[in-house]
Amino acid sequence: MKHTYDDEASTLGDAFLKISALFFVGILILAFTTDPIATGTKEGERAPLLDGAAYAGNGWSSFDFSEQFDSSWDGNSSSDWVMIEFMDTDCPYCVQSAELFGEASEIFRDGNEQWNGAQVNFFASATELDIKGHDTSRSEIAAFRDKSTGFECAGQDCANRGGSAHQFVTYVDDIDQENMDEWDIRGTPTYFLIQPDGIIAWVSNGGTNVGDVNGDGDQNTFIDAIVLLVTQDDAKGGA
Amino acid sequence: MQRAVLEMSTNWLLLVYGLPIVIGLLLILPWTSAIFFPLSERFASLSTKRGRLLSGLNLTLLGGLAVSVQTHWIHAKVSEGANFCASDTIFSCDDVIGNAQYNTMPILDIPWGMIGFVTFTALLFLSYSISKEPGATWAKNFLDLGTLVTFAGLGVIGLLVSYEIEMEKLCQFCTTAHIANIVALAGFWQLRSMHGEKAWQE
Repeated sequence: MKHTYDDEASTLGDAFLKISALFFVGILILAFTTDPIATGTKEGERAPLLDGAAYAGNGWSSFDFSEQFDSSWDGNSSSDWVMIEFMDTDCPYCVQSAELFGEASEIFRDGNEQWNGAQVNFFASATELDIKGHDTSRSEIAAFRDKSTGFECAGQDCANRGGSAHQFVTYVDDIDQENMDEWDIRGTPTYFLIQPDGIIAWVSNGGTNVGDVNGDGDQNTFIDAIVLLVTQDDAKGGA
Repeated sequence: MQRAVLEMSTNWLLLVYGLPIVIGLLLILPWTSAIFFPLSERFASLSTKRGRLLSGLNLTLLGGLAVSVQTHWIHAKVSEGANFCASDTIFSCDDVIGNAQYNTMPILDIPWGMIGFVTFTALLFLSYSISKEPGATWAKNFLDLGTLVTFAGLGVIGLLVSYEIEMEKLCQFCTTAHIANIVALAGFWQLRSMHGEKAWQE
């Protein structure tokens, strides 16, 4: 019986084995020396960027969201946490939630002696939902924040919403819904608590201000999430 | 102090990855054959133009593969929160590779470093196979494919450079991989032109 050998196939097989070996060495190096964290909007993932101009009471200006985070955070209480609310100034639930959100932004601060934990910086990403009657603008977002008159928020003058002016909340213009899409927001309001290293610690259920903090099935508000998760310094005294 | 050490090790790493690409480029350039002539006794493949081109191509692609692994490694480390080559100057690969908006391929959402790693591995397979069996029936197809892939790579490079311009930052490791692709295109192109001619048979 005559055997026919294909030298060309042998060359290909040989080359394939050698180059594959090289590839798997690369994969092994990556697998054994890194532990990557995906960017996403689930708890434990790295928060995406928040883009757009920001308003903190003194006109709209560009801001760099990444400056909020300290990649070398070691769990100490001196680094700031971040709370973000995705909202629409014409969303009735967001208007209802405004009082609590404003109060929280005043409580969880370094300057408050009643709070013994790390400072939480509050942001609101204000969008315009594709719903009839939801027409917003930067002026309306500013009016919502400052509780000033002249603009309509969910059927009432923005000045008549509950609570006081949000002097410690930075509002981000997301009228083009870019952040909504990037963060995969399914309803407003939705809240995210983010650790100082940029990892998401807690997310509320879409369209509500509650979510499970510790996996016990109980629904906790964003205030519970801050109290339970934000690093606290015992030496400062009780909350 | 730690930053200075990091910058030094970054430069050394770039040198290690850049060296095979520079040697590969010298082997591929048409007017540098005299440099390698003295080495042809030790390395027989360097005595012919085809051999020099294939050796240069293999070295370049190996450098490209290695630097792509490095960029993917940086991507993973930055996602963990670590710093590798962060800098306030224009040269800051952490800022480029760590930018969540631009550091993955659109639609597929795969990190660019991994795209480079897989592409350079495939190109190295093509190049290495041809260097082992230049007279094979598939050699021409492999050269066509290598030329096509590296040519398509120019589009990807253009896109990534546009990201860097937008960020006003430059990633040295990414640039090294881009250069490897351009050198490899020159190599594949020349080999493709040579195939079937007398010089190929030498």
